[in-house]
Amino acid sequence: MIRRNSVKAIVAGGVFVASHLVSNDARAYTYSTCNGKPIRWSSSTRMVRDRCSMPNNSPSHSAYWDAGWNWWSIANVLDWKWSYDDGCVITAGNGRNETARVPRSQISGALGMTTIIKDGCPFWFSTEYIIEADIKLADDLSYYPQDESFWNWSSQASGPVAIVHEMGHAIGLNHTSSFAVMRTQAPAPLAGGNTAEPYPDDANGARFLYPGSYSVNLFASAQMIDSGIIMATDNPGTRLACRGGKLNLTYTFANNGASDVSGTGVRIFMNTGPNSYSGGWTLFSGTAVLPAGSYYTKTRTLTIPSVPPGTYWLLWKIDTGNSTSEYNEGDNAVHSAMTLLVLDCDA
Amino acid sequence: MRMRYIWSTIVGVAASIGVLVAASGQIEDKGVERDWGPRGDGLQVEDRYPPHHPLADVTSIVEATVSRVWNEYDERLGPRIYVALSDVVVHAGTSLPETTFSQLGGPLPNGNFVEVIELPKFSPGARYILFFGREASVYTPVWARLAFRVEQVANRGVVLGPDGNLVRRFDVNGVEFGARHLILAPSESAHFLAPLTFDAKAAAEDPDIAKALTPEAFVHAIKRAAQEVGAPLGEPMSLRPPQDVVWNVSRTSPQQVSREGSEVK
Repeated sequence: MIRRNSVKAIVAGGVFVASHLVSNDARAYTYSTCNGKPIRWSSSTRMVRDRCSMPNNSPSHSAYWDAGWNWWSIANVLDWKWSYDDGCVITAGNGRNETARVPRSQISGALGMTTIIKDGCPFWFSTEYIIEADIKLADDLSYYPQDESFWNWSSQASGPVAIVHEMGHAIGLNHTSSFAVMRTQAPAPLAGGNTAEPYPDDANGARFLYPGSYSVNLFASAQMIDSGIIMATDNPGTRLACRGGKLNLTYTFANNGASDVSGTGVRIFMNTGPNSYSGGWTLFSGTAVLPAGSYYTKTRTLTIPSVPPGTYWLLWKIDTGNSTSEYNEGDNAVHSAMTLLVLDCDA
Repeated sequence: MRMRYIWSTIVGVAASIGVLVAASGQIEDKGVERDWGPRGDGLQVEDRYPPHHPLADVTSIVEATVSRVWNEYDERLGPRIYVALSDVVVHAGTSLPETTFSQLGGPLPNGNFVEVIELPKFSPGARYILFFGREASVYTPVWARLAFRVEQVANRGVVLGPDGNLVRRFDVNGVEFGARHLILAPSESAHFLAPLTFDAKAAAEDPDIAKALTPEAFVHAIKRAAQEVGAPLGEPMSLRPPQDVVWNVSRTSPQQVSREGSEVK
């Protein structure tokens, strides 16, 4: 038998203590300029995938497709729905935007490298445009979707997010240190459980360069930024808990769309599986306000409901009532890196 | 009859032009197909090469002052930004065979401009700690973006990463940076060789300054990490790309795919 008080102490001591965080640096995106004017594409352009190094229906194909679709949904500039096979080569300066996997040594040990060709900025009145972008990706990365709750900064499985990052360069975004895919410091954040997609700051940058897109999307994340470092919102591992006991849980919700969202339903709950995003036992239910291109990370003290003893996953979900029509409905829920072992403390 | 001949000639020429345009389009878009996305019946397995630790190919770690930065066009290696080093101190591994290296970037002869955002930028007069691999790629000989600037803040040495963030930790798991950019890089495209200014005032007020590694601690940490990983320190190295490398065409990694559970290598 474990006494309730001692269990509570373990829970309190084991939970990552993050004070009530509401941080939003979602205007930190950067870009290059010519005479003060942003350097961008003059109109939408085609990007092609190298079928030789990223074959049809392979994980890298899937990651490329998702990355292209997400950027296209935010800024209709990079038409990614094309592939090529030119004999296993990638060529800069041929007027075609290509994405391919190459040996790591070919890109000096980087995860990815994007070569941008611009039409120059020779005069004080010039406007400079991107005329070609070629993306090389390291061939030793895994391109399988990753569970963001267990993402860590030494992971080699950053293929999907590397594609999203390099596509950001291809449309004209430079680096940032914010809670964004365009950051250089690993890891770049994932979203919605296992999705690599532009974060609000990235989306704001894309919409600044290519205004006119009014896409809407909300997502949940089990990651946060603290002192410049991206980490899991909750420490991984199993915590002991009692029914009726208190639990501190930190979670992130974001809006990388172009429209303010208010009154959207949010729910924090426990369930028996990591991907059991419906049903379960509710810990908190309410609504959220998320202006366009923003996120928030919050810590909430919750009461563990009366559930049968056992191991439970902690999950959170946004747009619970499906009241917001989003271009991506698959990134609204996520599970914590932390699980609970609920004991029968009264026995 | 004469009019009819003229029309047929015009139509014939137009058709020929159309064929030529279409043909040139096919040449330009060689092998291009519409992509309908990955099928929903499960992804195939694709080749994956063993992941390399970023330090596993480092042959040399040096500290040097950048004495000059300039650009030139090279017929084989394309637009280059050259970096000359002086006061070179070898912290680990091979001595540099020469004190100048180059990176891809800069104007093309036709007036277009090549930029590679992932490459580190160098400022004349500043001191850097640089990691080099066995040989240079067409992009740079600096390995894995490991180019760190050494600066002074209130009589204390600090180390900044390639984006100008303070380095707080360096070990085999990676590099931990501070949150703020402390090096101001010009955003103007035409100023690509302009010096990058270190913001000493912002650095002194940076909350990460107390956690920042000193250059001495940084050098100690990088040596230990390189040894732990088994980096080939001391092996032969070159700051120049191999002779068969050209700037604009390179081979991709052919992948063979198979159904789940029967990986092809």
